Amino acid sequence: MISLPQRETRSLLAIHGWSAVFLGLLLYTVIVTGVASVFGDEIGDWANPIEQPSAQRFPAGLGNALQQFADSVAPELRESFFAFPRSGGRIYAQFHRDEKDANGRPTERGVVVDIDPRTLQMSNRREGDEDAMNDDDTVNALPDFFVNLHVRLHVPEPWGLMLTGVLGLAMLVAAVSGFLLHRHLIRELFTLRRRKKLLSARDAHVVAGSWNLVFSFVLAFTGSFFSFATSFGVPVLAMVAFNGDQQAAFETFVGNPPVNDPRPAPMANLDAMIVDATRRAHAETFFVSVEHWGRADARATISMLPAEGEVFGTTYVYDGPSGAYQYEKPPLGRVPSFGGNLFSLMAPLHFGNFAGVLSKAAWFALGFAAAYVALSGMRLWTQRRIDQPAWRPLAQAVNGIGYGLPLALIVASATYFVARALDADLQPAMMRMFLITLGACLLASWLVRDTARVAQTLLILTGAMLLGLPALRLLCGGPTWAPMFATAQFAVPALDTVLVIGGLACLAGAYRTATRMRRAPQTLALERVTE
Amino acid sequence: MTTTTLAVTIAIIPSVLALLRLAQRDPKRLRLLGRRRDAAGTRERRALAALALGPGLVLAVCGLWPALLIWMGLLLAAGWCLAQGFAGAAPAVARKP
Repeated sequence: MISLPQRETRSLLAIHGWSAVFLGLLLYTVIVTGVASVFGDEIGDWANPIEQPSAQRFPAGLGNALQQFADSVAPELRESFFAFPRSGGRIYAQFHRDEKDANGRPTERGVVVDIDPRTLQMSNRREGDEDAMNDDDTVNALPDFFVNLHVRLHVPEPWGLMLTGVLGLAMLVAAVSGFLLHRHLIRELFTLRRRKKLLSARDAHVVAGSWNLVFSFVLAFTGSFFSFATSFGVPVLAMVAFNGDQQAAFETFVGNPPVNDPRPAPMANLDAMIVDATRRAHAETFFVSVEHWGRADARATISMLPAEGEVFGTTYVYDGPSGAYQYEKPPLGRVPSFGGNLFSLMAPLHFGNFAGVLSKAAWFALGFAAAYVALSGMRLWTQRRIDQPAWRPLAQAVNGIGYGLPLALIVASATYFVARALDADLQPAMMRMFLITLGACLLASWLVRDTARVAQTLLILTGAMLLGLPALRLLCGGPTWAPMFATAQFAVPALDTVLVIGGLACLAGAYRTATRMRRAPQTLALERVTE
Repeated sequence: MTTTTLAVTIAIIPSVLALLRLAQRDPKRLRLLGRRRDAAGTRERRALAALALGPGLVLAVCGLWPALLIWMGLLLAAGWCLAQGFAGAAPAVARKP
């Protein structure tokens, strides 16, 4: 039990509540999209499966395909290269060089292709600056939409990252102040009083928050770290220690310090390096990058997925021209360190992707609970003040966004299938429909005074959309389950099933709310009698 | 079945069962329902808490870190679900504590 003087408790409650009032809706958006992003890979495989997938993430023969790609790229753009598999196992391969834009900000110019993992054919070649490389990138459009919303709320860099970093800090403040505020954390872990509506809501918020406390703290800390590290940390470090050279700062911390030998030299085949790395790590390849492709100082870095029983994977460095193994790269710098190990823990703890679907499912459940804590807290704070005219708009916004955001995300997903079938620009179409739906939900909660009625209607719409999404996927040309089972692409049937279950759960929730609303007058009468 | 999945399965079952018993016999919850006599004593609660958390300790000692993290995540999610489930079973209007 944590015992604080009454004055400090009041101050903490004010901090806890006001931080939620100012940033709660954005934080809720980041959490909800983060929950969806946990299964980003699976969502990509579900939305855009491939006819013939490969059993390996980096299939044999890819080295030759990448060499062909390299031959087609101007030597000055071969400064940096990286490749990794995306939706359906399609390999995303990019050559680029770092440049500075007219304002002196770091930018990139290069060439991108998608490579079919079975036929190893290149397609969808895009060249130019960052915008040109990202244009018409349709392979991963749906998970990218969720991830961009989660990471930077679609706000341009670096402001989006800074904003989500601040939101992470707000979540930390809420978690710590909530922990200090709740005097009987252990004693009330199972206490959900249902005497009055407001008291029950308070208990629901506190109980969910108590069970979620550790996870909220971990997520908020790691999320803030990722947001601030690139938007704020690296520029500041570069300014202090690297004369403003962010590239040099970045390379010193996480890259390989460059050796300069610009003589041309053919690159060894990457396939052999990938096979060697797989043998060393007993795990599949996660990511491949090469510095100075086609030069004597070329170096390949191969990052592996975590091996069975490990939380994070290893990274190996190979000499580019000879393909010889050089060393195992620590996460930070060149020498293994405690700080490096802590740094490498950040990603698995934030993404929950260290043990496949099982760890993702645990992270999804806890993320769902965190979203519930955020929404129930905001509802609690605003419902208590709903009689004050100044608070009414916020209470309506909480209701509209709280129930409207999941609906808007599902509408954006539906838009993805329709826009793809119509060959329209995917990202603008999804964003447009997302904003229109969210706006309509806000308008509905503004116009209809009965917040419970609005919430129930939005829940019914969400359920109906979830139920309709698998059908829409099929109608828009998506594959049926039979070829997906035949090619072991289980994400399609699994996500279809989850969507149907989620839809039914929403409808059941709406039905329960309606029943409760019908019984409410009787309950109130009973309360008056018992009191 | 991988080692991690197996370890998580073996560890989570006794933990959730212990948590279920803890929730069933939680003194504060039962007091609110007017069933103070059914509540577990301190010794029983400590034993159940040890049983709930013990598998996590075993996973940590064995160095099964992914299994430990998943076990912890599932246990916390299960705890919340149990709290919600028991609230659903409780009468809409309980007696005053």
